[in-house]
Amino acid sequence: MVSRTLGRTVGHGAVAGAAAGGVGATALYWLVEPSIRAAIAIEEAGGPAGEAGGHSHAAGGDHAGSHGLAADALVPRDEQVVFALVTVLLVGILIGIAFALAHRVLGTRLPGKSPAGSAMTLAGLGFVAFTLAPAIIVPANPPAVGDPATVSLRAVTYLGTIVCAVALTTIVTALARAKELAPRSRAVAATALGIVGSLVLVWALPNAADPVPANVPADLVWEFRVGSLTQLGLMWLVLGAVFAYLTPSQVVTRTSPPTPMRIGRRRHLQPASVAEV
Amino acid sequence: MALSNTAVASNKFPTTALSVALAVYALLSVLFLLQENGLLISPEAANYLHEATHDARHALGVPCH
Ligand SMILES: [Zn+2]
Repeated sequence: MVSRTLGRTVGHGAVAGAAAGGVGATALYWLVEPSIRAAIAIEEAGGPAGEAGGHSHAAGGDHAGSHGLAADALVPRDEQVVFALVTVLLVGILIGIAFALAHRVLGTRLPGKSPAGSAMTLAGLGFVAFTLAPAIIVPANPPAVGDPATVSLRAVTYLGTIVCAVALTTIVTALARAKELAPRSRAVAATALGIVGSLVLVWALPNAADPVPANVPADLVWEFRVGSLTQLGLMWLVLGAVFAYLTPSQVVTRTSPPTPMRIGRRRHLQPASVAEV
Repeated sequence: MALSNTAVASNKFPTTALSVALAVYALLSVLFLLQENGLLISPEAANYLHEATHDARHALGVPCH
């Protein structure tokens, strides 16, 4: 058990998440907004008579007239950008709290020689399961690409991919650390399961990605996806790093005397009572 | 929380359960923020939330229209 209270864990998670959200919001503003702006311009240009994807909004029922059409927009475009930054910050804080609690509950079951190291590992695993896996199965799209008719299938596939990826990542990580196996067989088994499991998931999950309409340049979609992945990758990196920085390095077992929080913080002192990692 | 060693020992399970519950709650809040489609709040409010969080939803890779 990491020597801090539950409230402190949540607090550290929220601070790390806010830092990740702040960096993510900055990345969104500089890297993703330009593509969103360009995509909205295409969306507005393509009316019902437009190319393949242009019809989507006119036909989209509750969606019609939204997404920045200046005259009748529910949320004006400039406010939408501000809300976007606030949303990324909020999502960062909430994910940070969940991350900190997962780190606390999993404890020494996570790979890593110190709580700080295992925080970085958890961030890497989180990136793979929550960002990379869904990005491969249902790649992120700018406005003007998605078809409202397929949004439910895409949303379910997206969530299902995350659930499957979390399960696979957990099993592969557990296998890589299974004490019952020799170190070499562990590595081979974990790698093999990772590869086979990924292939099975790619094969088994529905092919829900929408085709890119003819009036949306491939460059725009590419730039959007690279920007989005960069933003998410930065968020996981900052989340892991800041949380690791805040994490006391001692893992105190139940029988050891209470240790003052600050002593030995980030000094990699390894007292005898430290659980084997 | 960790007032004494016995307190830690007897609190271990509830703390774990509370941690898991809080983590799930945080993740559900993210889902609510990004995928609320009028399930819990009125359609107008849901529509407003949808439009306000729209750019973030796209940037975070969550499926949208
Ligand atoms: Zn959208």
